[in-house]
Amino acid sequence: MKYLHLLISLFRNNLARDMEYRANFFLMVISQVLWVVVQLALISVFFTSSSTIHGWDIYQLFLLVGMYRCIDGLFHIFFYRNLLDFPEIIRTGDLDGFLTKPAGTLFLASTRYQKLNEVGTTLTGAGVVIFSLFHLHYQLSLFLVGTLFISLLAGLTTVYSVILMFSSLSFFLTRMTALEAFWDMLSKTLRVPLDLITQGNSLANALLLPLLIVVTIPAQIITQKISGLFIFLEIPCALVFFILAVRFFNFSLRHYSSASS
Amino acid sequence: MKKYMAYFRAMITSHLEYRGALLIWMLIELISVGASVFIWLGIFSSSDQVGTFHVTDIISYYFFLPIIGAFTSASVTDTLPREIRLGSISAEIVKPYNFSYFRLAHCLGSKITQLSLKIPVYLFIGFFLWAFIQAKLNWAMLPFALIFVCLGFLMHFYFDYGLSLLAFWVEDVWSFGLLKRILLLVFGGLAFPLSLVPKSFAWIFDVLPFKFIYYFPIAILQNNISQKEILFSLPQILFWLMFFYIISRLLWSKGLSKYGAYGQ
Repeated sequence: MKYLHLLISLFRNNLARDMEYRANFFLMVISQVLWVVVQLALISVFFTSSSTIHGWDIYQLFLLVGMYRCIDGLFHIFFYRNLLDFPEIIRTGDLDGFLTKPAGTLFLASTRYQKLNEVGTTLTGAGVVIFSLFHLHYQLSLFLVGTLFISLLAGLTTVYSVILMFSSLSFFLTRMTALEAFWDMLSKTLRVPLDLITQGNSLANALLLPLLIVVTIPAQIITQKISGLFIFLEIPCALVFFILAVRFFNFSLRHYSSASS
Repeated sequence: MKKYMAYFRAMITSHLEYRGALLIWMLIELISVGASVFIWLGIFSSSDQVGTFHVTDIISYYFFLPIIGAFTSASVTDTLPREIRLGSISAEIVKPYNFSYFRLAHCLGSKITQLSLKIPVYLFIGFFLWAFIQAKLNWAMLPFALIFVCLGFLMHFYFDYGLSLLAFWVEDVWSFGLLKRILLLVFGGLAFPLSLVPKSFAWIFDVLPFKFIYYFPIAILQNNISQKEILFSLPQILFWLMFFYIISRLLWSKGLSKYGAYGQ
């Protein structure tokens, strides 16, 4: 409960700060809408000569992109900036401030700043999901809503865990400047159906499991490419990745020695 | 020139100090290009042609994209706006050198270290993709591509530098950085080859300068641009380079008169 209150206070604080720069806020939202239009236009171009690509039709691919954008938006709103700042707060010793506060270090360091102007990414993503489901003739059902909700939660948890693990390397490397490039690479890969890469190979599936459960498997469940039972794989997998990431963070934290780290 | 060279060398030494971080950069670059190629190979697994594009066009385009980008990229907006806002440029502006050349030396220094890491990675990937690259690559066009890569980098640098100088007036230029990224993604050819654009819209992409940062040098290498078009485009890129240079000088002189040592 204490953490929920803390999160709400941080949220209010960040909202007030974002609203100070209204022009920026709206510029960001416009940019995000523009970006989704470009992405969908590009996908459409590749469907001009063929009705399916590797078994995915255009609206199924739109659905996958929409689901990814929802997760991407939520990740940016709550965690991205904080995890991106990790190397700097570790290098400069600013992490001391979090360690001395009467709340979990990881919680504070991961949620201190929220970028509410990323709400456009989530909203455009939700719009694309609804648009695709409409064109795929889906009826609103408990299974559909449940699958979307679980997928969103599991996807967000997994993305957070992967980035947290990578940013925890900052405790060992003095100048970890590649975090943004890592995110770019991950983001570029997640917004395509990863079965294009794995091609059904079980070793590739196992190696890419943390990425597959973010969007590809949920989209495959909804479009009935795989059994609906796979949804039960999502939660335990996301939890395992989360526990591993937190353990790695705590292990890395033991190597922190303030500004000289 | 001597003072800029000294700074350029200092930047290289500073970057090489952090070898662990550089190794991570190398791995990310390798995975990034590898993932792109695998995705496109997957898309083309059922047919050799998607739209008007053949598998060799796309694979060689997405192979050349990060290489050209490594040369033409500029990231002044990552650091300079913050330095202006916090007032930390005060120590630099009192020194006896031109601030834009100083930033250029800074940018080139980082670029050289990054390139020294990236080139082995590209050679490694190129070895496996040689069949795709060779089918499109025209070695005779390499000198033309190099000229446009150099000019494209300078133009991008002054565009980025000018954008960063808006921090003298605007509190948070982060959204301008994002807008620049979208402009490059759409109009620069970063998201897709510009030859995919329908003819009715193509003139917009032609008039804007962003194609010179990614698409144009790649298209030269892929032999998709005639020598006549190259000659016609040379005055265009020189015009845009001069335009961004003059604009950034104006912004610098106007911004400096507004600047307080505590920040904006």
